[in-house]
Amino acid sequence: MAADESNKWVRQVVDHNPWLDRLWLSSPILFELWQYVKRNTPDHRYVRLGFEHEAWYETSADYYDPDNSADHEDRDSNEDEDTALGLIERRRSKVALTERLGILQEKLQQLIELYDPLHSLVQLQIPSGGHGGHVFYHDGRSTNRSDSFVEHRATIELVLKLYRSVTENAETQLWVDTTEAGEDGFIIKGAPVTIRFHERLSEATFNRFVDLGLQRRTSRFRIGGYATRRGPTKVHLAAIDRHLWQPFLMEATSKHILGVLPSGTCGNTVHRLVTNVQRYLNPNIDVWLGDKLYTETVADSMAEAA
Amino acid sequence: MTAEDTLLSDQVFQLNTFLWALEDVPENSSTQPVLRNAGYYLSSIGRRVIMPIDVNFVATLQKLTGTSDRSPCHPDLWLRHTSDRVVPLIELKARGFSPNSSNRRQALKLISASSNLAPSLGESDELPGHVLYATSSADASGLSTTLTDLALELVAENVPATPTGVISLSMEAQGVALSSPVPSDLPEPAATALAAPAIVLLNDEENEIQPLYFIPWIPGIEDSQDAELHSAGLHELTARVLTHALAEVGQAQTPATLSLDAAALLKRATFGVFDHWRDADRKQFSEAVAKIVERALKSVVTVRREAGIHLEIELPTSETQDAAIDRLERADPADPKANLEATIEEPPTLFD
Repeated sequence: MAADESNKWVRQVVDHNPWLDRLWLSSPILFELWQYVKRNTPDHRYVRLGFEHEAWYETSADYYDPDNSADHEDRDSNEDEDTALGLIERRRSKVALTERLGILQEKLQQLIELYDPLHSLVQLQIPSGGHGGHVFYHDGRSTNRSDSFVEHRATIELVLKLYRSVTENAETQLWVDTTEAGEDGFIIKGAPVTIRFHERLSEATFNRFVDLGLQRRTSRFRIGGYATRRGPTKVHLAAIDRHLWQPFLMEATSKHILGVLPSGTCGNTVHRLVTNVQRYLNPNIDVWLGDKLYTETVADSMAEAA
Repeated sequence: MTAEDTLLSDQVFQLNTFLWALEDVPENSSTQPVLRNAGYYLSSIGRRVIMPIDVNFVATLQKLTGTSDRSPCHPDLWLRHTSDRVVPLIELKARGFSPNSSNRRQALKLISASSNLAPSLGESDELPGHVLYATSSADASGLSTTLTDLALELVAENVPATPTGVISLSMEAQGVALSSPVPSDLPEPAATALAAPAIVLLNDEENEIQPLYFIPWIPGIEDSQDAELHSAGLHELTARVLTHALAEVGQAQTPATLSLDAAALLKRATFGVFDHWRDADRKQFSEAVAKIVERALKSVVTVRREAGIHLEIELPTSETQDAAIDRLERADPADPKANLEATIEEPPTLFD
């Protein structure tokens, strides 16, 4: 089946079915696969990486120039999926790098430090043993650009193993539930997921994110629920994942997002949230599952999988 | 009373502040796990402390409280420590109290019965407890004196008295802190951790200080809770229940007759805490939740309510499912005329 056709078919089957979801290969997962590539590929091979960040919730107020107020006309603030992108100017970075592994090993970290959208890795081609490689995208798509279907299948199995392990580890660390403690007593166990922005969101961006990202049906984050304002840059949300229809609690501020997941919530919600935050809100973030860095959980899971 | 004092006196706020002080969170977060960092972890919420059965204890109880009632106490929090054997029992109080107040009996029972918690845990080796009351800083010193006086009364009757102490909640420039009017009254690890005010909830100046609540509502504290905070708790609980109703409707595969149990919604919306509410509260809230969901949906789908708390919702097509989702999403949990606050007060009708 051609990719266009299979993508369409997957969209039709998955996007409206609460019992199915994509694999959300968040940047930390793709970066861990990049580490795997670095360890297992000769320096002369070419590797392809794709980065993408679009500051979807930035507003003109973020660039307000008091000397040029004509530039500060109010815009229709209803768009999340619907408004033509061409009408809106905002930061949009789409970077593709195809380079020899040895050069990327040396330069990539410096590039990321210079230009923060490069924290949002959305595509990685893992070189094959022969020609070409295996391309993985943030939304779980995979394309065989190698000369071996069997090797492609084996590579997918490795990624699935990693994904399963990191998802199960995340669920074990995060799920909040009560357990009986005997003699009328009980314990609440579990921990929050914390996403901390390296750079604080402006109040305008935060408001737009809350309005469009967390409360609209057309939200790219596919999150809805009932919000309680706790101040100009703080919101509490009795939230629901509008794809899997699973409830959770969220605190969003201009500095962080904090999620509390009831027992049974799919770990996919965490990977999707991390992916979408980096793609649309803020590419430079740190994520913790409880008090453990998400990247550490991903690395531990890779050690189990590989 | 200032808004700050009102908040610090709120037992729901106090409970959640302690839970965040014990939570697994990264360094430099907006909440600081000061008790966890001191080695403490949550052992239980609301577990019983059983009363001794020896004659001297019962006689002393009769003498000091006017009754020989040996019913158990249920301190709000039982903590354990990674190395210290002393078990802190924390009782949350909106206000301090005097030695002759209505809290006297409960405090005397707790102080006398907690010197050895082994019987309450079914263990044979002696296990020392330490009774800690937590309240707002305005009342902390007075409460400390009260607890000392009550312990002395027990000692005078040759009944062992458990060590007591007070943890105060205060609003500091940096945020909400735990400390103690007499740190040396606390078990050693806590005394060190709370020797100076230890910030649990960081103030970010422009926003309210309340953290995300694990438990937004505690039944049976209406008399001591501020009316506005009482309403806010019911608002939050309504919102959480509605998200769980949304989940049920959203996950249904049409055509379907959806069977919803209001008690199950409440259980899930409270992470299971609902199962530990009193029977009367469970019944009252289950019926109220069933009414709220029924009212939200009945204009767009067929809903049958049975036995007060059970709902059957007809979702014959994906369009009716979408309409039901839309109606639930439009519900306003903050509306005091339509949320749990109003619904729990409604008298039963002929059809309930």
